[in-house]
Amino acid sequence: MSFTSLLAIALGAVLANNFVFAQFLGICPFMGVSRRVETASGMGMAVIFVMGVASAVCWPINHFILEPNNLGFMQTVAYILIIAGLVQFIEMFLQKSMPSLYEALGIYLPLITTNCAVLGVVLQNTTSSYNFIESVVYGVTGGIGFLLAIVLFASVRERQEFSECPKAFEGFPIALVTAGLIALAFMGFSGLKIW
Amino acid sequence: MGIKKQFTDGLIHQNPVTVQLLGMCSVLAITTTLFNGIGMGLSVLIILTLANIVISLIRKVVPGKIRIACYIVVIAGFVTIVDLALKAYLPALSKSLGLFIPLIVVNCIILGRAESFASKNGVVRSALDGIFQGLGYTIILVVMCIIREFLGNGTIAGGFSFINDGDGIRILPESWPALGMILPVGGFLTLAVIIAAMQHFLRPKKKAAEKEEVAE
Amino acid sequence: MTQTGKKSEPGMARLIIVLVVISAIVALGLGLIDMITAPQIALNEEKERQEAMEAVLPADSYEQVPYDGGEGSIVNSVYRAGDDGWVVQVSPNGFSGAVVTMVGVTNEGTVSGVSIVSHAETSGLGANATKASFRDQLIGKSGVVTVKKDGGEIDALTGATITSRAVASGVTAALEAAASLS
Repeated sequence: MSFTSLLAIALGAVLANNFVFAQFLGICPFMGVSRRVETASGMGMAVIFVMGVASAVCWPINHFILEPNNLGFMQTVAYILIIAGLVQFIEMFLQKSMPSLYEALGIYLPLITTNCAVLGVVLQNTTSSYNFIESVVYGVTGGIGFLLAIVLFASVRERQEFSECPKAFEGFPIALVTAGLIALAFMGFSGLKIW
Repeated sequence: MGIKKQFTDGLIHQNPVTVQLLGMCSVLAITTTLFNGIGMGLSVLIILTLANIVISLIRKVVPGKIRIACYIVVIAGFVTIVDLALKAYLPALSKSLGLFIPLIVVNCIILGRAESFASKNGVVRSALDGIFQGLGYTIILVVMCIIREFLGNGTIAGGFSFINDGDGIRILPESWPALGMILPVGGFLTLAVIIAAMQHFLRPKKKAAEKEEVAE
Repeated sequence: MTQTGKKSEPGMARLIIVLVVISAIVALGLGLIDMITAPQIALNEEKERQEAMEAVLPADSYEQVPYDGGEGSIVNSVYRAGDDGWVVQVSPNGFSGAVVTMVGVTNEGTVSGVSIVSHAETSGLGANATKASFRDQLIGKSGVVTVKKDGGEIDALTGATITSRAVASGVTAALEAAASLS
């Protein structure tokens, strides 16, 4: 684990292996909270926090409790409970200290629990056998990739509101087409060669 | 609500993917071969039905404040069972679906149905709800798989080890297909078209139904 | 806000008890299933490894030999395949995680076969690394193996340069490991 390997993990998570556009994780909130750039960036920040902290908390639980006791099969249950708890905590925190953001995110805040990207990153940390630092780096940069995706998408969707659209495609379908085109653009990053 | 209505709701009018817009991560990610589609669809159907049954059974005992956490634990339990079962008895499917099997835990369809149906209805109804919604999900998966695999790989029924060793039945010559269809962009575009088509065909029916209601 | 049908708000103790009970039941159930399935899962893995080894270098017996590739080595394990050569398991990093590969190396230091044990690469792209048409290219190679883009002789998979590079680097590491033990 050197600085360059960490950098490779980070750049991969944000660009070439972007959680939304390359790995299809986090689509539900991605679609749901991307109408306005402001709420999108708020959601993105919250996700960075959850992904980073979840990675940091799940790693020692797995490394010191689950694996040594052959309890690997409990990983899914343990991880999702930890994530649910974390999100609950953030909800309470935001409600007290940033109530406007709390209102704006609405139902989508508790939905971070079911954000595939959060559970996805924790599971990937386990299957890739990352150590603690690598896990946290992957978690945080994965979240940054999600933030990038959702903000990019929101800025396009804000403009789309003023465009004409075939009736059948209104709403979700045109959003999916947009996401598809951005995903196509992100493919360009897969040639990024890390020294 | 009659069983027939539950059936048509699950498959068409309240289709979990195209109408309720849930569970999209898996629909976009794994629909590259028919093997994946059927395997994932059946897995979700089984988990959804079993989870619905259990949640319906315990719905009166679970306090409202922690119900989501309890549902999640139950769902995670069934997901792990399916995960272990696949690893042991269908390792090819387990490898193919990879991370998306444990990710069924956070498939919004399951938690969504638990919250909106199983927690408020009896066991038999909830079980049927699980089966029908699961079928609706599987049908969309299969349609996506067929389209994407055909246009992106030129084959049909890929992934089954007993059909051409997993290569599927080749319909188009190897140089024809558009590789983009099995890449993320293809997933997004195919789903967009499917949802648009359903929105288009369901709308006149909705308007006709509304006119009927007004006339009555 | 009053809740119809409930006489009083459940206390904190009740909440914790219900959650713990449900979690305990789930944990016990899973433990049971794990006990039942674990032997079969281990059998599957062993069978897979055996098949992968036989596919790259058939031999009467495989004996694991100790090998230390140093910090960050992608070599998982090395087996002596009878008297005919070595079978090396490597895990280079592909597009989405490790591409666990079994490489057969003859006594002369050339590749006798390559088989992909497990991967999480994209279906239709990196996953095509498992196809014979790609893997067969590596047979007979020796020394440092790279894709054409990097000056070598291997044709990379369409749209899956990262996966192709990973396999090539895995094969190179395997050749190195075998060479160091010869």
